[in-house]
Amino acid sequence: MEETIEHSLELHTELCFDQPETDASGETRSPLALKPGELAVVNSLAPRQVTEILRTILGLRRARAGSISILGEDLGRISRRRAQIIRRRLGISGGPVELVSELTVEENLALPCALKKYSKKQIRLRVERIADIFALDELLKLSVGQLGFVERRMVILARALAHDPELILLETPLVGLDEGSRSLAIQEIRRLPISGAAVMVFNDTSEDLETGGTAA
Amino acid sequence: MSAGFFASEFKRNLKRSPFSHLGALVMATVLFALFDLLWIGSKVADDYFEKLFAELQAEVFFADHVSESQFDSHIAELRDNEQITRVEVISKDAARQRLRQSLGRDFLLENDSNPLPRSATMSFERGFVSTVALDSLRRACLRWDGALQVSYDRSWLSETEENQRLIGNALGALLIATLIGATLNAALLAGLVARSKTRHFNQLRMLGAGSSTLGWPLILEGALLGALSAGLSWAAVLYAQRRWFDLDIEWAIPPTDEIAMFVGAAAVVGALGSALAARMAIWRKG
Repeated sequence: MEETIEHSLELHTELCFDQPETDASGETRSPLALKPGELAVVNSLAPRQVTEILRTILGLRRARAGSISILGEDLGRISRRRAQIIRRRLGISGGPVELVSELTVEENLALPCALKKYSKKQIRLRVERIADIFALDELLKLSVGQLGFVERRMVILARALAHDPELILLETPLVGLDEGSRSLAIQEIRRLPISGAAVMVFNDTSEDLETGGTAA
Repeated sequence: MSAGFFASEFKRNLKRSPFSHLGALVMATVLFALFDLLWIGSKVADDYFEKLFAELQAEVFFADHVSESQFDSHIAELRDNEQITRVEVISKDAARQRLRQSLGRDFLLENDSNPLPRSATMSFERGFVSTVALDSLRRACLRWDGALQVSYDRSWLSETEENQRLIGNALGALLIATLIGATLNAALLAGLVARSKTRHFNQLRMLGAGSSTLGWPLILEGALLGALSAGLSWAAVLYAQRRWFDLDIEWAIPPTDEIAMFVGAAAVVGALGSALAARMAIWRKG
């Protein structure tokens, strides 16, 4: 039986707000929250704050105050092992996330699927699908070092989505992309909430994700 | 993660630092070859001592009042003992003859009777002789009515056993030292590989890889290093023995199943060394 999660993401943390958690009247400020099937674009946070939130979610730092709940679980209260398992259900692009330089593009795309313990056949199908969506077929056998800036960003984005994550966090996903890549990315990101994933995009000032962007 | 992932990680590690891997393999092979030679040496030493002990004889003397039937019964009991390979009966006359041969003349000529007792000398199976075993045999023989004495060179046996023990301890210490060296060698390689892959590991962790996903390739690499170097060491020792040292010395080469067990144990040693290094490099960071 699938467990129902009210919020895929809840941020109660000093990282989100420069001000204290209570406002002038003493009321607790509403946390930054996201429900399954929602797409939210958040432009109110500084890049530093977004990076720190992502670093906390990725386990690279601990939140000094407040809490971050991912898929119904408070990261500050669960074990490291449990946090690792939850991370496999996330798709993150931005912050400290980079491609694994020793692997090829294909191996990078396959990694999150392998960590989620999909079968070999399922992994192959997913990699083919995501490569097709983002027009990466010709790059699959290349090593990461052979990729240009735009290609890297597309592969990072594709890897974040390859394993059908339940919560997707993207920081400036469209920056630096050419028109064709941008259009593909917008199309895929807008499609994700339909399949039930929660998507939070940080600092997309182009408003393309909210409006649908410019068609290719 | 699948076996394919681990195999790919191993290939990547090998490609990233081939000379480190080669160096570790050579070092481990040399250490295990030393271990093999010490092992052979300890078996040669054991064989030598066993042969030496098997040459020791004991002699049981009987009083004159013991009847022929009682005497025959005691001799039969000795012959029935599986650890005694040969029982030689020495009659009173034969004893006198031996005394005359060893001293050069018959000192008992002027005696009216032959005071020398009947006796039986015993030779033993290889592997039986020890002070404990012969003391136990002596006590058993002395319970017989009419058994006067059981004689054997106990002080020599005791000293030789002590020498054997000292040699065994020294060889054992050297064997343990080489095993520790081999473990540390595997740990060194795994530590080098882990430290050179810090960024790689961090990125995998961010995707949700656990410590076992990161550590198992290193442990399997250590096991492979251990098994391969142990196999190579025996190949080198056997080749050298046949090619250059085929002397008239009997090399006590262990049987194939023991060598196979040793290769398995070497794999465990390699895995253990790598696990220790992986624990420090990976597990502490969660």
